[in-house]
Amino acid sequence: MPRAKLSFPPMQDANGEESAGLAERIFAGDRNAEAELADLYGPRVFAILCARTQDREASRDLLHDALIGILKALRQGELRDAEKLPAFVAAVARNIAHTHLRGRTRARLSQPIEEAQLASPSHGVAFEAAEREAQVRQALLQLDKTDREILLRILADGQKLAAIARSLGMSQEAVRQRKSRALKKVTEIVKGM
Amino acid sequence: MDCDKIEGAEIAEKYVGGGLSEVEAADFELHFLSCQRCFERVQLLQDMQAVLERWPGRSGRWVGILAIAACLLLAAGVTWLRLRPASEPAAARATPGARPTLNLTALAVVSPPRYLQPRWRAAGPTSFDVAMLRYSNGDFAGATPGLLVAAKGDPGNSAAGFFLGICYLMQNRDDEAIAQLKATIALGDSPELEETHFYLAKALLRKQDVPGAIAELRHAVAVHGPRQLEERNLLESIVREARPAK
Repeated sequence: MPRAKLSFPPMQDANGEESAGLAERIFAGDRNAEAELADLYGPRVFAILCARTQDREASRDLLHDALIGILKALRQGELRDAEKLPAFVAAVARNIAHTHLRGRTRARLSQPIEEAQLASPSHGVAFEAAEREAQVRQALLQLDKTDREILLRILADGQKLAAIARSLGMSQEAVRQRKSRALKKVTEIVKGM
Repeated sequence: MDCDKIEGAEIAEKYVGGGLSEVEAADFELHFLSCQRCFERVQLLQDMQAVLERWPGRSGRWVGILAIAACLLLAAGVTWLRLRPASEPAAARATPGARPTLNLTALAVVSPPRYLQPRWRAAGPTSFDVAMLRYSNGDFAGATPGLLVAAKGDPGNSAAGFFLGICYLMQNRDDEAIAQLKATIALGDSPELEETHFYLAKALLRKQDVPGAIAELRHAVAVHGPRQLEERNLLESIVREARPAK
């Protein structure tokens, strides 16, 4: 069956102007702008790496490489259109993930940027992820056991709703509703923490 | 398609589970790079995925056996709680391993303390600095060897001892965490003293040593440090959980 093509709204670009400014400031040698870029895009790059590699541990290391790659390119003025920074960031993240998946030796992008200066961009991201995981764990403990089982099968085991419905003796719609409810509940609990 | 429709079509879930085509995934990535709402959805789903992948008893043929064993332990604990003398204080009655409850498990959840890297140092980085870079990156296993070196090289270094204990805790090496945190407390007064008691209480809770956890929390509260409110709340919650069911 042909898949319906998905389309997403154009970027509202709340960050657009900011992104362009950031790229220009980094090119001009503004170190504060580098920290801002890491804060703004680090968590999103981490999300892309996690989704692409399905390996959270590896993504922690890859995030560092991705941010170094982005900063190096921006310092050297390799991004011609500063407004395309988000697309550039996404492309670098994808390339790093694909390189990792192909099992290539990771090229360490060390020069001309000193490791010591670039050791910091990815710190907060992975650490905050560990903090969030602790909160999510707490929220999941408050779910009904069956709801948690449904989420576990979908998110951790990658099972389809139909298979879950069969094994739990429920309708597919019931599983879908329980899943949506459970996701909503976890979201609310985590937001309330 | 707006963000409501993206949510309705479960795009974020498909993305996290690898269920989108390459083009769809790339389009969605470009979208959530600028959309806070969709990004937060992705982030939450990925956090849940990470936690659920390590969920105790997730899969394997031993799950059933472990579940039965857990039920038997729980039943034994509940029976013991119901049969014990009524005059004994609740907290004092709670013995290690006697009452593994879901709520106590929730109270034992650990969030690692933050470490702020000094912005400037006159000398080059020490093994402690290097280890703490890894720690700050969430790489607790990677930080452990460096912290071991730092703690052994300078047995009086309470920070190395404390963060080594935290690293053990974050790797679920509870016995080593307890021993390390106790050793750090034995060093005497230090900037980490309050948090060491607090995290030792968490480690003891994981081992269902409720009286031990309560004692450590009381020590932590007595320091009157910045975590005092959190410690008092945790203490109250533990005592409430340890109370016999009516």
